Amino acid sequence: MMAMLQDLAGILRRSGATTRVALAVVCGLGIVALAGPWVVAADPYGIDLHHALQGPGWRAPLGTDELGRGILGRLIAGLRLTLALGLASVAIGGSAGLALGLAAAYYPRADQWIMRVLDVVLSFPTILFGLAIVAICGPGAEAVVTSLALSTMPLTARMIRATAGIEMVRDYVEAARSLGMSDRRLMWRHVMPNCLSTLIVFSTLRFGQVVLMGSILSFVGLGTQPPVAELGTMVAEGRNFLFYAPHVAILPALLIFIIVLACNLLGDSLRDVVDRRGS
Amino acid sequence: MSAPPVLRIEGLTKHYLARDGGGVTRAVDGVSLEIMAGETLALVGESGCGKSTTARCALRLIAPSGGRVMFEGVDVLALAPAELRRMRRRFQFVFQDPFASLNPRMCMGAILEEPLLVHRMGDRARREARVAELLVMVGLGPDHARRFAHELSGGQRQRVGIARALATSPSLVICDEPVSALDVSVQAQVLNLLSDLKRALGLSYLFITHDLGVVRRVADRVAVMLHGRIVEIATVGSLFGQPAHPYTARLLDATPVLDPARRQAAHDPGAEAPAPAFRPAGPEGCSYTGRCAVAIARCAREAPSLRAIAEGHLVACHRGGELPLPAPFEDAALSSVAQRRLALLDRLADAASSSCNEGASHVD
Repeated sequence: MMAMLQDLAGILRRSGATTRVALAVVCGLGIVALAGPWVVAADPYGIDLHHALQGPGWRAPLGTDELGRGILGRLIAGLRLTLALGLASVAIGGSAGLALGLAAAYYPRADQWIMRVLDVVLSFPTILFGLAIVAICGPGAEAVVTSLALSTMPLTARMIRATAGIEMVRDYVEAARSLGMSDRRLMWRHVMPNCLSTLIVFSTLRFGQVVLMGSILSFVGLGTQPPVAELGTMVAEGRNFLFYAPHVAILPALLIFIIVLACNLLGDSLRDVVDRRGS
Repeated sequence: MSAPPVLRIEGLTKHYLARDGGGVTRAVDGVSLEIMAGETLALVGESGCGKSTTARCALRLIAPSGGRVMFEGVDVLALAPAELRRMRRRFQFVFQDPFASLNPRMCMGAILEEPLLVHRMGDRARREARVAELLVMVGLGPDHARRFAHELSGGQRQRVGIARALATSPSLVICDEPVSALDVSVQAQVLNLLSDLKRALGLSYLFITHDLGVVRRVADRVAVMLHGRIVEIATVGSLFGQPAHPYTARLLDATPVLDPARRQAAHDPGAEAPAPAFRPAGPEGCSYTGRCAVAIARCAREAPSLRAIAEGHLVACHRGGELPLPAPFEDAALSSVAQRRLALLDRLADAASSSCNEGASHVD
């Protein structure tokens, strides 16, 4: 834990302006998502048909949608949900991928089986997974998370398998083995912690992609359903009024863009830091 | 030879098959060794001759292809995995690169506690006390327990590597080039530490190295390896005094001479002979024939096996024992080369011990 904190401090010290801005944006969005509903008293679900499709003004700082709901409140609620879906997908897919990747690296006999099955999973586009899962259990947040986690898992597993393979031929692993410890302890105490920085970098990059993909699923109607405030769903609803009230679709789309861009930039610079230390 | 040896290796082999099925590399080819209690056996040879592989195979970090290994009367190669793990507390490794062999994410206290945890030795308080004791034993302070590998100097890291090996109170420690990654001044400190620990704890060492200066300093007996085989075993005195194998003589001659004036005199005319690749699969003939200055026709036909030419002095050479070897290998010249190296190590050790910990923390 101490080592992780020290790493983090080192990364910040060496990072450039891009990293800091990206980090600030990601942190800012996270804080807004967490604290927003208590700070901005805007109801995302209160319908007011007399004030539908209004531009920004006193009543609603960012205007209203076709049912007169305040867009600011809906953006905050949508941000919460979108980030939560992304986090859940990356966490579930990432930890499953971590376990499978480590197992594949450690047990040569399991390696071929695990990797070939994951190759099959990898060959399906995420959107197709979404369709299949929606067909089985209906549209909703669960379907989004399941399909995104499923498509994250094989990518993470490959990354971890490669990293663990490199770590396992290092001297400290041989030293640990010569102490007489069990395979499981060797894996969890020695190999896994040294794969974590790779996992964190990869997950940051993947988080941006997952948010985008989740919004796409919701946009085409496979994810969360109206009236739930989710960024992709909001874009889908707003597109019908793109010519009279462009802000209804553009604002949530812009927010998606900012999230994805910040995550990609942050992931890239984290990768640079980790790579530099590795070489 | 009354007490049984701590480690007895008989006919150990490790063959690697080429990936295309094209041939066999005999990395270790029928090595037999014995290490007595309290003895330091040095295993020397050029890089790639199978020194490290022998040690790793003997203690099953790599699975050997054949042979027998008895450790304290137990057949190591026949142990079940769980029994082998339990057994590992009795024999431990010290590795060449102390930075690479310490987990970068663990502090020294955790690294030293780990062998105790793995072998369920003592409760929390006892383990902490043991860690502090180990750190003091290798000349570090208790405050080093909270440091990470990148915060220590090379010498300090290797001290931790040694402390880790000693944590479970082993009887045999395999030191795989333990000082070759260190500064010469730090080498002397670490070698002194190893000698002190051996005396205090009654350890046996299998000491793998290519540095004959180090051998002279720490070893009781020396085994010289070439192309996966042992070509000569003798006590340090007789090996340095009367090398019986031409390869041993060449090795001794190749010991770096620090005085440029003497460097010329010790030049070996055969030194430029091309170094052959690994011993070919066909085992007929002595693998050193191509580089040997005293080879005879028989050497190409028939591989020599180890035979005794004096009490405790074995050599695998058809001409072993016949030789007073040619000019540059005379006793006086050889021992003076070794003496110079030894004297330098001694001087450095003295200088180092006068500024012991001070010096260690400055050198990196």
